[in-house]
Amino acid sequence: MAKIIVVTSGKGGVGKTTTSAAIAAGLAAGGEKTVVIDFDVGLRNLDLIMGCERRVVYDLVNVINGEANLNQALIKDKRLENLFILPASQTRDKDALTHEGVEQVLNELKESFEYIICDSPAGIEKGAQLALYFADEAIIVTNPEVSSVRDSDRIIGILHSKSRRAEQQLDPVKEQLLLTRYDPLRVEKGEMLSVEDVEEILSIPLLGVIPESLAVLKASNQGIPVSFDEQSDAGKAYLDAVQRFKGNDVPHRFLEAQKPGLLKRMFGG
Amino acid sequence: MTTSNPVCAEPLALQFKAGLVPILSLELYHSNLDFLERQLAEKTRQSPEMFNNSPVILSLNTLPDTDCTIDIQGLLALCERYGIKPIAARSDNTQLVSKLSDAGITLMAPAIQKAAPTKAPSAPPKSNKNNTVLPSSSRIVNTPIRSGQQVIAPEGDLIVTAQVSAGAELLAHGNIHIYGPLRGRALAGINGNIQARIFCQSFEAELVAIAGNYCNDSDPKHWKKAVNISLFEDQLTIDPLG
Ligand SMILES: Nc1ncnc2c1ncn2[C@@H]1O[C@H](COP(=O)(O)OP(=O)(O)OP(=O)(O)O)[C@@H](O)[C@H]1O
Ligand SMILES: [Mg+2]
Repeated sequence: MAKIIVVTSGKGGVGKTTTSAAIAAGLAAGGEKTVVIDFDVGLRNLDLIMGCERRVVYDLVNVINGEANLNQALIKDKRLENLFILPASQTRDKDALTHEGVEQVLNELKESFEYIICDSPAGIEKGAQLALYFADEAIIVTNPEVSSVRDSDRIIGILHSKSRRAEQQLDPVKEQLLLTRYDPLRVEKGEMLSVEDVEEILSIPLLGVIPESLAVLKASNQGIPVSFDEQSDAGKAYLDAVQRFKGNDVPHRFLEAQKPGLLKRMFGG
Repeated sequence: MTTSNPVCAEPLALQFKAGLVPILSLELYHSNLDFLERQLAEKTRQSPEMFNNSPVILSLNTLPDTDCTIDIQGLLALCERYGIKPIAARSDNTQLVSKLSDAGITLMAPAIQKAAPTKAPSAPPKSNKNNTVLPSSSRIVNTPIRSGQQVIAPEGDLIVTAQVSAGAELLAHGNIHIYGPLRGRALAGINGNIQARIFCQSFEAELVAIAGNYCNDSDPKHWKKAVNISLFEDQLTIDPLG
């Protein structure tokens, strides 16, 4: 059965698009046919992060309006044959997405994909609500600071009250927390909330902790999902999260500040 | 100790007591007696002891507007056959009201009811294990209440068995019980009941209020402790629980 997964946060700029690309790439690399949909109409950037912006011809809105069919709009990733992108429209306004239209596209995708990842726009209004409405599972992307945690809490409330599963009284959407841009040094200094703090406030299961990392910026500049950079800390953390998402028990890493290595201590940093 | 009647110093022979006795209401969504009987028979088959001559209030306000033609005599006979004793009825429909009083059924004062459904639900209301409505008009919520959400128990107590996030709000006519941390706002006794109280397992509230008297200073003495909050001479007092 195809699974619809929304990557959402409430607050903007916390790492939803980075996460959508990294998780989608990780799932596809594991052999599962995966599509990632950009719901951020007007502000599309998933295609940039996935490095396929110059291959965008048609987008989600074109498909909904019947101006193109799905196969024309889906972009196949250059590196992984199981990975597809359905871009958002750059030019349309936010109201271009309709409930019925989105449902139809998702139903069609369900027939050929195992995972359908929805990259939500920021906020808790219409756009974000539409992106999460049809979800079976949700990845709640949160930064370790109070306002981000508060917004995540709100979006969890919306998943509980306004999603399709809530409205039809089905099993609730399965929510998992992904704490991103985590900097253990700043946590030690009390400048950021700790993993435990955030878990206590949100009380949903922890999918993973992604460290603050230069590798993220580097990967997005190159148009490569960071999980392809298997040597980087963020890449490893995302691949661990993908394993946990599939139900495998993987210990958490990067929760402690790195002690400077022997060489660094001898020769200075 | 016997209470005596102050006027003639005779022992007290009777007394009126206000009380709330839980009683079943039978809500009807359809006027077709065969249809009603079929479902009654099924219910009695599932739990034969269910009615057992128990008094009920017939609620006819739940009938669709077009169904005011229900055969009252037939309905009463049906109740009799299934061991249901209608002691009173609720109806706003003048035609039904006169038929009911002809049949000797007392009418309840127009109930303080939430707008009666105008249409009959197509299926019996599905029970929702997360939000149970108790007959006493208390409300139980078993899921966390998140920032931006508001839960109201307009006629009774509100019981929450999970956490209440910062930015969430609880309102109750009566008491509020939270079996989890209270990080948001809780307002008990919203209709002026100064006897109302708030109980929670971990006090981390943004604001608590009873009958409009509020307090939002967070005394570190009670922070994250189990507390019982009550109103004493217009002052909220917070006491440790247990
Ligand atoms: N783990 C990380 N380490 C360092 N930088 C990060 C990390 N995750 C995300 N970023 C940076 O944060 C910025 C926002 O990331 P991203 O676009 O993924 O967020 P978003 O939640 O999708 O934003 P929006 O709400 O605008 O859609 C980007 O510049 C990205 O490079
Ligand atoms: Mg984004």
